[in-house]
Amino acid sequence: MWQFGWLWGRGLMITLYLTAIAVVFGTGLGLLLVAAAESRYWLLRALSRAYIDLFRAIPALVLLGTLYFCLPILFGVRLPPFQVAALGLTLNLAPFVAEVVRSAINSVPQIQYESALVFGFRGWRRDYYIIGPQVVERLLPPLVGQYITTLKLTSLAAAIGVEELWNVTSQITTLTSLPLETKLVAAGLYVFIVAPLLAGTYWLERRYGVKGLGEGRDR
Amino acid sequence: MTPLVLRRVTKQWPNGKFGLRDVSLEAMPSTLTAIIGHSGAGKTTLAKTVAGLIDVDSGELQREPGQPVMVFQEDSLWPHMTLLKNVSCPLHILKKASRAEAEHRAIALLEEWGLGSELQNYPAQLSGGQRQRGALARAWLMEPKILVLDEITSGLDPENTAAILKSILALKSTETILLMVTHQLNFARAIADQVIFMADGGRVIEKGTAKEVLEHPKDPRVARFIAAFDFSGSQQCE
Repeated sequence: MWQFGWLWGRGLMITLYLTAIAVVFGTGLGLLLVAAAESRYWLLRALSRAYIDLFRAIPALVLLGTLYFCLPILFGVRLPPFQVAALGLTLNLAPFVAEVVRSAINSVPQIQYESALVFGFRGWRRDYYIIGPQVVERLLPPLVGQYITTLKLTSLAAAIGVEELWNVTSQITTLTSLPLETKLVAAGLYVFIVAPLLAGTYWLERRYGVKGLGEGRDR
Repeated sequence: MTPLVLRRVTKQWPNGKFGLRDVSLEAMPSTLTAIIGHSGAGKTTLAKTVAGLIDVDSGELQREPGQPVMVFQEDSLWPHMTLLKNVSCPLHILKKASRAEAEHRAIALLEEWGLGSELQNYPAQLSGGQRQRGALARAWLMEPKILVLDEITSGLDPENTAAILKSILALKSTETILLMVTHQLNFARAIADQVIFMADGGRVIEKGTAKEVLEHPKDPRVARFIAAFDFSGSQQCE
């Protein structure tokens, strides 16, 4: 089975590439959803809410399959499997990013806004120096968690024919007739690429855990 | 300097309850006004109104231009900054002192207040008393025209309370108008130039010098409140 190492390598690269695209665009779309949710216009708020609730409810595999088979029928658009997967994972990640960002913003206690205001921190100064850093600190660990989930969800793209890690694993299984070994190697490779992200979340939790984020604890 | 003046200030909450009702008050520079009264009487609402955090519905509020500063009952240090950054940052960012100058002044004050060894610690690593003294130091360095203190010693041990009260005493010698919501009646009795008693959902029911209000209260509710305080105080001493 090791003679197919190049195939594993290619599958791994496609998995990482797919993850990177979904993370970048999913985060961007998620931030737009938050901006719309906080907008003055009720229509934008309603649309944002509807999108978030709808796409949180649709399972990622169902979303990928629906996009893959329905886009050509409904809109006459036939995208390659990789692009469908990137689109589907982006649409799937965005509402979770939006929820993570929104709850991070909402969890900054009112007293932090007030104590910024009574010193004269207003507008961008308040957000940049006082509130923003607290939002980011609350945001990062759950956000990285969502990115890990997205990385793992890329394996669903195998179902629509993207030659990512899980797909090439099936191919190598067929070629070698070694189902146990190939599946174990695939699992090991997923652990290998997720491990640095997990280490990142532990580091973030340790780093910001010390500061306690205002949940004042007596020494 | 302009004194702080409130004339018939009223604030009603959306649920119909009054935060402040017809509150009038005047305070001069270099004086301390103690605000006392029952929980829910509107003391914090008055404090936040003077600090500019609450817009009033009617009445008049005059104060010296410039940012009034407030220290809160709850933890209000910024949790992502070290103690030193907390205290020096407003001075550096808002008062445009150089970073070195701001830190130098912050360190000098924190060392004087016995917090010299905590400079690089984050608020979560400090005790309640240290956090509250840090918050007071941060306010003090801004040299505000008006400084509002909202029950800043509640929940602290006697030693920390004494340290904070000592700092407030030192503040009185500056030009600052001090407004202090407090349950420390003995401190108010000794130091306050003016005492205000609030009750009845946002009303000031008695106002005068510390002697007038705390020793010869006219309103029976004030008399009961002070008697209860003296009783619980004497119990603690036995």
